[in-house]
Amino acid sequence: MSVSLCNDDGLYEGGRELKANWKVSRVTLDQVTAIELSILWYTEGKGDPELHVHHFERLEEDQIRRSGLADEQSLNCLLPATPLSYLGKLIRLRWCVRLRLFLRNGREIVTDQPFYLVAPLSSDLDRPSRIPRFQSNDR
Amino acid sequence: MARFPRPWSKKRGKRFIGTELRSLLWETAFYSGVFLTGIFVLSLVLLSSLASWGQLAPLGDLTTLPVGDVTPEELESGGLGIWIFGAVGIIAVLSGSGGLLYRLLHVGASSERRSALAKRASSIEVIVPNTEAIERMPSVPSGSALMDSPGERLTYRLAAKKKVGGEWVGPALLAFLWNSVWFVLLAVVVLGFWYAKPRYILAGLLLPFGAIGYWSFRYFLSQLRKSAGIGPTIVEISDHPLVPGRKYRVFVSQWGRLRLRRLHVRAVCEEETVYRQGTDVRVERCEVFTQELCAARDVRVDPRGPWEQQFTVDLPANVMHSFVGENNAIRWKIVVSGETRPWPSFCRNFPVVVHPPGLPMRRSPR
Repeated sequence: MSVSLCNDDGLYEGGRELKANWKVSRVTLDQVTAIELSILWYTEGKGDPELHVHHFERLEEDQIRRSGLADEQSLNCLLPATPLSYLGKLIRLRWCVRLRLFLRNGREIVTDQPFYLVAPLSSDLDRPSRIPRFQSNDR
Repeated sequence: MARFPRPWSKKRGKRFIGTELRSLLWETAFYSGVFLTGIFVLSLVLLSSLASWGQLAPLGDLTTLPVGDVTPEELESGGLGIWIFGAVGIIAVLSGSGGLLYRLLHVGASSERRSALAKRASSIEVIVPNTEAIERMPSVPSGSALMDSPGERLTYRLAAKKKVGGEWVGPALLAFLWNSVWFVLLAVVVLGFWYAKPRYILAGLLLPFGAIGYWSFRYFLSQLRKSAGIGPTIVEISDHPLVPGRKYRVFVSQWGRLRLRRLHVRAVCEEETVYRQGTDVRVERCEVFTQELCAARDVRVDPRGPWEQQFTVDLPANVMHSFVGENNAIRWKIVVSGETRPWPSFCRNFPVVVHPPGLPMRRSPR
């Protein structure tokens, strides 16, 4: 399974559109029962994890048979303004496109394609500085 | 020429009116005395009555007084005496507790402020995202509750996170409950001696119990003194919500009567996480951004001349916005902390909300 984003650097401004292409290979149509696509954020760190799904699609067996697995498929979604990606000391907030494949034998295969949700209109910052992160120096 | 003091003439020379703090403490002590005396009188009356009423014999046993046959003549013959003492006790309890409540509710707040708070109480929004804000900025508090209070010097007056001046409530409850019980026990002992059935063990226990009551009342008065002595802290800000990459003016005013060894004003970003460890739920906080706005030494604060300063908060462009999740939060606040003499150190937090840049703002409380 592969998911590719339209921005090479993986930076997306809040409130803008995200476009992604996805493809499932080395699996036959008979083996697949469903595919779930979601755009979500989750937290990592010391606190109990949180997960919020912003966009969700589920393709059932009939839909998969109609569209097939050979071609690359696209996913479009308008991203929310917040919460922005964050790399903190106790909390890390990450965004990703998640593809989950349900197989007939009961197995599930999951792949994540991470991206960064950043604030718009921050052109005065170089691109890596657009991701808010833990400030170690006191001013 | 020496003058003889004449009480009916106009007073001359120096007069000591006293400070507001001293009057508060004396009034508190006076109303406490009235309240506890009322408890004592009421206990005497109730215990005497219980001992004489046959239908309340099980309760009368508590006093170990013979029910019915040892009722004093003055109570038996003159029921009016009991009623007068009972009424005096009830009036003393009511006037003492009423006076105490009225006086203590005035600590740290002007009448205008209390009135404004009461008016706004119904419309206060807790600092969590509301439904309208969720659509626009998910997981970011709107901060609208922080924007309905206009300031005197700058646009908004910030509200403290925890109510300032309520530190005496717990000690007050302890002191009054304990001492009320002590006076009830004192009434039992006095009646025991009165009816020639002394309770020596209980009388002996009254001494250590009285010591605890004395300590709890002194502790309550010292907490009240601290609370009234440090005085309120006022923080105002030029704009709200804050946006990274911009500058804001902050006005801080400290009231009270104290000398501060150190006074710090800081803008702080704090990460807060909630996690489960076994069956415990724990909260951990960590300051990830601190901007020192003021670090003053040897500051004098006088009731007629509060300490007032204005600062500039310069938020870096790549700091995180405020965030509230189920188990995680990123909170911004202005922290005013001081090391004081003669009171202990204090630390007061004034939450603010930081929004991500590039979004249209709603403003002006006026």
